[in-house]
Amino acid sequence: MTEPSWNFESEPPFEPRTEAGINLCAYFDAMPDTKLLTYDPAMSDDHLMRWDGNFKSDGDMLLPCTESEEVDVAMYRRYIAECIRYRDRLRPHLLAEA
Amino acid sequence: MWIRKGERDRMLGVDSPIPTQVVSNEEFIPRPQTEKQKQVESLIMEWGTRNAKKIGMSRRGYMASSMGLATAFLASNCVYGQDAFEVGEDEQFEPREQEVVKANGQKGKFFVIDVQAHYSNGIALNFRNSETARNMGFNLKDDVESYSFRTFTKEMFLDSETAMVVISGVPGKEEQRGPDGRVLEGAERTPRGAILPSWLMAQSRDQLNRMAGSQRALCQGNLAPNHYWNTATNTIDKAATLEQMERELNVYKINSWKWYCHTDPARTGNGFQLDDDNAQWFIEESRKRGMKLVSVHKGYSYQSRTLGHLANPKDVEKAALRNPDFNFVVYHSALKHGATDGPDWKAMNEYNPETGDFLWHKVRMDIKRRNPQINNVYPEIGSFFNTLAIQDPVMAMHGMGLNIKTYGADHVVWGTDCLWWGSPQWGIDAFKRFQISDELCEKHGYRKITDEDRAKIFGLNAARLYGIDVKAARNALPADALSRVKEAYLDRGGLRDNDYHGWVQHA
Repeated sequence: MTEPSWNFESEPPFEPRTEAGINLCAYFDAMPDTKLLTYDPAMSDDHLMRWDGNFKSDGDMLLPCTESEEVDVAMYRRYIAECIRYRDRLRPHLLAEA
Repeated sequence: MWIRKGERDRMLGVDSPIPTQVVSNEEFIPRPQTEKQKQVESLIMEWGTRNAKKIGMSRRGYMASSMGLATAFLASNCVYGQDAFEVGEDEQFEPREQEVVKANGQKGKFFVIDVQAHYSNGIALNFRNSETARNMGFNLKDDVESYSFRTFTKEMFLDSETAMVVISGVPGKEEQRGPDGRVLEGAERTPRGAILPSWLMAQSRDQLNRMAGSQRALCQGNLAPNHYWNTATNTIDKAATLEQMERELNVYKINSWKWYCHTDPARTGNGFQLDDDNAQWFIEESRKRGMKLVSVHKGYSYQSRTLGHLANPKDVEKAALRNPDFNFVVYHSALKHGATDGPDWKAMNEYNPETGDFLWHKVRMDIKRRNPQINNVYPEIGSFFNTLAIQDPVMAMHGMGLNIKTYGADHVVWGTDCLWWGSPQWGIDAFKRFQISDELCEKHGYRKITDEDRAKIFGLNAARLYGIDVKAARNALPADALSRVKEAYLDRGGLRDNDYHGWVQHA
């Protein structure tokens, strides 16, 4: 299946938009749908960090060029939940177009 | 999971005098260690162990010596086959006098100014009490300390021959007033913490110079055109920007601006460009106040459609042409780094071995090719030379060859991006020995790097930009100036650590 061209980054912000938030949206836009669909909000923090693979041993994400704010697990959870809602809304439409 | 390179090395028993893979400064996702890097690492460990035994030294002591460094460069030459580093077999057993490190302010062969040196203000890490921290078993005791001012002082001054540092900014704005309207001071201005705010850089600069009793440090200021914003009108807050400009120039007495066009500390929803109206207004106001030096991050970026492209150096052209009395120091030489994984990383970075060009270095090269009259753009080589020297010495030859050929050896500026890379000494040694092959010189019109070039790049160019008197006396920092510096130093037997603080993948 061809990956739809996601653009969660351009969605209206669901919370005050920060540089970290913009980059995190872009990060999720690059995450394959098959991967995102395996996300389970019930995962422990430890499990989530291993599932994603881009967390550092200091507990924050290695999200390049997010220089003035760290992305912790709590922020990650808020954004991925919203991203899932975005994709659930857009997926049928984008797949029909593909 | 990403862990610090030093942590990874300790797990594997690796004690290499040079990093054996690229570490991330958090501006890019580091690539996995390549097969060639694995070979270099293996040879360093094999030869280092053998050589130390042969001359009756501990391996740790050997690896911390100039002989260990020579061994590492020989291993790199052996694997990459390009003799990128000028090093003799005999140096594994006997240091050449001219290469012996003259650390901590002693006069060495070159006057070294590092214009890209960072540390962290001990940002509180909520992680320590997290479920993950309890389960992972990592020793986090030294985590904040790895980037502390004490470690910075030790690694930049006691462990390297760096004569002067420019404490280089990271994005972040200061709050100017409290709820009662009172003007905030010092740490009050960054109530939620900040990695390296302007007030702290100035304070640290003064502390270092006081300890040395001479000028050993300068600092940058973080203020940029998108830091103070009127959200009602969605325009720059000029009054607040000018208030902060006056503070950074007159109170902090900063030595350069440091800009990150692709970041958004004021939450405006966007970044800025060097050639946009707000930046030009800032430049004109700065000019009136006598500051005409802008250091700007270019290159390393992210895929955000909104912000990522703003780190492309395309905007340097118009700004440099419009403001010929300003100097623009382009950090990282605009190396984009590109995609991360897989054996095709060079192609994904649009590396062209026929021209030596790659992303976004080429954009900056083309600016000078189109505008040979531009004389106020300076390529800085932190996390550029050291990254490429470890990743692919031939790309390093192209990168440095093009920088010098296009902009001139009198415009290339030394920086390292340490502490991410640990002590900068390995990079200094690498550049002392670095050379461009005859083949590339002949094919691409590069010329051999001379000691005269090295002297300019290591320090004389930055001295000119910052108005530094290179002949002024500079005193050593006393080893006991900071009690923790002394403690950290003596705990390690007074040896340089081969400890790299940037991030790599934990396999």
